[in-house]
Amino acid sequence: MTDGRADATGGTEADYYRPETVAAACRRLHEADGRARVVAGGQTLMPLVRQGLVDADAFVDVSAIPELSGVAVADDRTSIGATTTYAELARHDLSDRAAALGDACSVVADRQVRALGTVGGAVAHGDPTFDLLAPLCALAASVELADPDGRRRVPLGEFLVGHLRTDRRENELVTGVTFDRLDPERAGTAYERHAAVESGRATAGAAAVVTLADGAVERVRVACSAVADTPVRAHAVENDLVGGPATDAAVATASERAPEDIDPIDDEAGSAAYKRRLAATLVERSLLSAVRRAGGSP
Amino acid sequence: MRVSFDLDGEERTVETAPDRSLRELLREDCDALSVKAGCDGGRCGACTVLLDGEAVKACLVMAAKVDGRSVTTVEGVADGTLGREVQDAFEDHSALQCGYCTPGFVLSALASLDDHPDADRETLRSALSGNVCRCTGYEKILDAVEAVAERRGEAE
Ligand SMILES: Cc1cc2nc3c(=O)[nH]c(=O)nc-3n(C[C@H](O)[C@H](O)[C@H](O)COP(=O)(O)OP(=O)(O)OC[C@H]3O[C@@H](n4cnc5c(N)ncnc54)[C@H](O)[C@@H]3O)c2cc1C
Ligand code: FES
Ligand code: FES
Repeated sequence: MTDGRADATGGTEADYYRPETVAAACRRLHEADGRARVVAGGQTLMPLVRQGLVDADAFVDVSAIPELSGVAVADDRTSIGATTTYAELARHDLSDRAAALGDACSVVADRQVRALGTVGGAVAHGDPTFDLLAPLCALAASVELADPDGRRRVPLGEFLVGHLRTDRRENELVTGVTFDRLDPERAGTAYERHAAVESGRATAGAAAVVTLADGAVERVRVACSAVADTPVRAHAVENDLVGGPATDAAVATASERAPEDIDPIDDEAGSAAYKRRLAATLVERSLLSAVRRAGGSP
Repeated sequence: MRVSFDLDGEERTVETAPDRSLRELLREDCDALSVKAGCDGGRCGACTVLLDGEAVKACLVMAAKVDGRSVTTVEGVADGTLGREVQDAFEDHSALQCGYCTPGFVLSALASLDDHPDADRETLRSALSGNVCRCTGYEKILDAVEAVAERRGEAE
């Protein structure tokens, strides 16, 4: 089944398409002129459909497009296809080499959600509490998009413009994410999060990517999740660390500056003050782990 | 639209709206009543089934997606299989009270034991974290699944 006209038997009368190429998917989106909804794993979309919050004439299921699935590791760049699931990414060696991705994939929701939820779905939905986004942000990943007019690549930080708001155009497909390869001898990455209940959404999370040179921090990127409208870089922490020694003490001091770049809100997960404290702790933990994985002393 | 799929070894063809949930499709159109309806939002795991062998929450699967695929419920667990061994262990360890959560737990346990036959208790706890039980307090469920894992581990 590639295409099909829907019948009304309890659900809606929307059309459902399962194209096999990016071009065919883009064509369907274009033809529906803003009235089509992309379906990947459906782990976010189905609850919205069930609550009557999705108003679409057509669903374009991208899960049968071979080009969108899987991980490609080249000499200088790594690319992850949009329909790669959390479970697939967790099993791939990339999740050892860029361990922050493995850390994140193993804490998202639960086994069942990880079996179906996709990288593209996480990026396209743009929920700042999603675990994969802070690691991708710290890896300086870019989002790849396609529409009938062509393809483009946008840095993740520019793509995620607000709470559940992205720079994706109505008829665009997220085709994947890509980032520069890290030096395996000198770089380490990690993601740490806290959730009030196991399998619950993160109250806060922090990802760190560190490259060392002779015991000093040559390059560092830190990103926090769930403490602002989008995942945010902790620039103050980064500036404090870069060029200095990669010691426990230096990491502890720098991590205290995490609250400077975040803007958490009071909600049922915790007060803003609690989340500022928590973010600093998670930044410290992720940095210590990243430095250790980079071969440094902590 | 029309979807055709294998349900517990039997070929089914059902007329459905594409955006119904697989849980509705199974319970309402296929009489698969072992697939329970809990939260309907992905949080309780009572609707867990195996889709091509992998545990998924049926309330989070769009009905259109099952076309051409295979769905297993606890009704499809055959004698002499790992699934039956898990079911028996639930009985032996009194791992159920009202039983509402049990089909989902059995299928999640089955999927994770397929990947890690000799998983330890912590691994199993995390593998079953998508399933909620309001009666047992989980320990007896873990006892049951761990007992299967220990037997499998010894047999390897
Ligand atoms: C019970 C539960 C618990 C969860 N817990 C966590 C958690 O702890 N941490 C966490 O990070 N996440 C959590 N999630 C969310 C989960 O990570 C997301 O649901 C998943 O990543 C979304 O991916 P999907 O493929 O299922 O997307 P879908 O639900 O298919 O799509 C999500 C949105 O993105 C759009 N979309 C999808 N793919 C594309 C594409 N290629 N191009 C353009 N648009 C696209 C869809 O139109 C839709 O608007 C949880 C979800 C559930 C149900
Ligand atoms: S009914 Fe599907 S997870 Fe609760
Ligand atoms: S036995 Fe009653 S919900 Fe688990």
